Amino acid sequence: MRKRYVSFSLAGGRYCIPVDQVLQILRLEDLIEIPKPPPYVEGVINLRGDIIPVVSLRTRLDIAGGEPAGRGAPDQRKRRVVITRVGGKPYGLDVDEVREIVEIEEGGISTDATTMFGVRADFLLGIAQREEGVYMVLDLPRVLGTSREIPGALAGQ
Amino acid sequence: MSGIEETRLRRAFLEESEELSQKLGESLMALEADRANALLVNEVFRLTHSLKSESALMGFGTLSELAHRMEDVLGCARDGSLSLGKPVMDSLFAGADLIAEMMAAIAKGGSDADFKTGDVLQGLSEARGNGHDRPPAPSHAAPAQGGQPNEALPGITATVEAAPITLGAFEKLQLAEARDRGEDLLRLTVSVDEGEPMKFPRAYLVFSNLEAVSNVVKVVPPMEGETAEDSVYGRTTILLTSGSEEEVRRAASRVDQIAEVKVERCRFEAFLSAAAVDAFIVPVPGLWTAGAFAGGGPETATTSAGQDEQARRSESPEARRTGPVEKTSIRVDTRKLDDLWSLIAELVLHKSHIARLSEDIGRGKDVHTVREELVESFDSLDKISSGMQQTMMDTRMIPISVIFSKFPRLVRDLSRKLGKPVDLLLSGEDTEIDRSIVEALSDPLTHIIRNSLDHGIEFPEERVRRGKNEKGRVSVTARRQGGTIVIELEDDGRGIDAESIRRKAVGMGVSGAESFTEAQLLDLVFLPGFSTKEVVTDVSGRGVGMDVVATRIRGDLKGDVVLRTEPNRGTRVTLLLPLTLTIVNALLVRGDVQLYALPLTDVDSTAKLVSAEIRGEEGHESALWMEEEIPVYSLGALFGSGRRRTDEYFAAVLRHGDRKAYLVVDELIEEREVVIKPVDDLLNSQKMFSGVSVLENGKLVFILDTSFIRREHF
Repeated sequence: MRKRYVSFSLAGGRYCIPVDQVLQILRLEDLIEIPKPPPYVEGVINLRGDIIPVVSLRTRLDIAGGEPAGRGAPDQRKRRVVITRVGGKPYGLDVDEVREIVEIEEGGISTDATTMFGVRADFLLGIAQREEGVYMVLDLPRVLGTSREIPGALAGQ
Repeated sequence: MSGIEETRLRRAFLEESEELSQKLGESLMALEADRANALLVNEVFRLTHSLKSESALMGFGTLSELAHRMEDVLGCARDGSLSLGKPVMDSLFAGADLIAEMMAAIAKGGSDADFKTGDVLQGLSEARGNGHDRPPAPSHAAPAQGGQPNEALPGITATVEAAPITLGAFEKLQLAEARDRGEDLLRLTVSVDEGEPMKFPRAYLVFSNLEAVSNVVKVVPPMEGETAEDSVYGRTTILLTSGSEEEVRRAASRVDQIAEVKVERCRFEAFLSAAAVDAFIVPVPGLWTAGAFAGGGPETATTSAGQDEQARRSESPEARRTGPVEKTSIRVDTRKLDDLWSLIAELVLHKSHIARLSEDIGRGKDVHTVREELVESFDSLDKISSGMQQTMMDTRMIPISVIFSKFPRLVRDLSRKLGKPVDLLLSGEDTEIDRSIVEALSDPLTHIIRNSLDHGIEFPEERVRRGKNEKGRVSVTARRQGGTIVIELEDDGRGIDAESIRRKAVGMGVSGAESFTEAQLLDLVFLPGFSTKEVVTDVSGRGVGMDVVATRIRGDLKGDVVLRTEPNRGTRVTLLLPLTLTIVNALLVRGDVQLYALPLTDVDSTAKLVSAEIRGEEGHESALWMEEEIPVYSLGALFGSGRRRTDEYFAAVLRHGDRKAYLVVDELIEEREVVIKPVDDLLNSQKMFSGVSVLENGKLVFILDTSFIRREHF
């Protein structure tokens, strides 16, 4: 069984999330700032009347500092918000560039050595190796703190 | 039966039977007060009979048997062979309770078979045996499965020969659309076998089969909502549209115990043209309005508006998925729908008007003239949209009697159990309130009443000693006051001694308790640590769990609760609730560049504060308000970079319960209505907001949850 993933780049690294978690991909426009947000929430966007929080994956995954040489600065024209639905609620992910849909074998995601990529290992479902390189497969419920296994994961932030 | 059909039947069953079960409880209460009333005996008999039939159809044998045995007892009462003494009434109450419990279990996906009915059945049969004034008639000694004598009931079995068909605006629209699609209009007359004891289930199966293959427009008597007496379903008229008459015939004939299905083709015009429609309807004087969208008599129909109230609430998806059968249909007075319909008609009118205006511009018509017409059209659209908003709100409103009707039974049972005779006075039952609030209100109200009887009302001897009427009095009133619903629960019991609360508070180390006003002291009862039994019992008067009441009312429902008491005279708990949770009247304010809305229920007034009046150091400032020292917060300090330094500040005086506080803002903008949308926890880590709202210009407004005043203070 192959599953489809949306891949995107952040600070030069390759990430992906299952295609069925993605609702829509938008340009990052009309970001509304909000009072006292947690550090990784950049603001909200108003998508047809729904108020959707936009999460900075750089801050959340703590990869702002871990940029491979010279490739860290995002190109503003390519910057996108990936609207995802997790736990029944929409969230926007601020990413540097949305790349393509990749297909990964179900068994092709390795949970070994997830600590080697400078990202909190508990935010990763695993690593997928493909010809063009390594993809980090994100565990969105955990990244967004909606996972039930870590209740209040965001509360203390 | 297919899965979908089964789900549909099950849902229909639940909707019907929950109502039957609730009415059964109410009617029993009425019967107990007026045992000689033959109409009430009949009513209760009818309800148990319907419950029996419906549950039997769905295969809920245990429930059906219980209802059957209750029906037997009532049958004896009806023909005069059994008098309704206390044991008989108690056994009927026990049966009704058990049925209600079974219904609740079934609604959650469980089964009636999980319940032990032995004791209750025993009670029923003993009641029947002992209560006989004369030997039972043979027909009751061995009740035949199913066949009941109710067909012989006088007055309620008149079978309608040819049921007249009344079509509402929506149904006419359905017909017009079907005609445009080129479908046939068919009228089916379904007759159930004379000997079939349960006619409704048979007719329902036909209806359900037909729904699967055609568009059923109207059924007389109705299959959903207010259904009629079972025997009326001996003949059912079904009006439907379909592309295939053959398929309809097949579907209708697939049910056993159907004597005859007569299929007639009809002309659409016969139902659509205004003149002809009159031939089919029973006119109700004074209630008919002329016009294209007239229709719908004064009856209340069942309408599936697909409102998922649960989804609107902030429950987690897991919590919502607890039961396989969710209640997603609501009952709406057809008059409200007709109002909405005529607004939509106007809307359509203006839509085409605007389309024409844009053509006019294309044709080079004078821009100023077009502009004036546009402005006019906009004004009308504005009126229409607020009218639609209002009407939609109205469809969410239901009378509070839905909850109040449970109280007589509650008080009756408690008063017996505790040995405290109590009169219950209800008023304002027809006050309408948002249905989502009603659901959340039931528990807290029940709790407060329970407390009143448990801890407030004294035992008869003590009351006499204190010079009171031996019988206690509890009153529950509801009324609307502007945009607020006020519910008062009052008892004439022993009341609460505020000074003993003060002693307790000081003992527990509540800061400032020494100088609290009486109102502040009484408000402590709503604190979690304070309403534990140990504390309150010796404080006297109030029971456990008032903190839960406060959380529900102040937190979930954005309302307020206030307690007033006078020792030996009684206690009054006043609940203030918003009319609805979706729209709120609010004061719009600005802090830095961000807009905030303060719900008007939380705003006492606005004020100008001179900086010299503010005392204390930053973060712990206070100022005088009506001779009371209250804390001073500022939007800038709460959410931004701190407060600007000036000589004069604008502030809103917030109130939450008995607590007040100044909230310094950068600008007081206006009072207006805002539509509340839920705010994600990610954006609300401090729990400072109860929601967000988007203004017409796209600006985001955060709706402030004023309960922080209370939190900060302790």
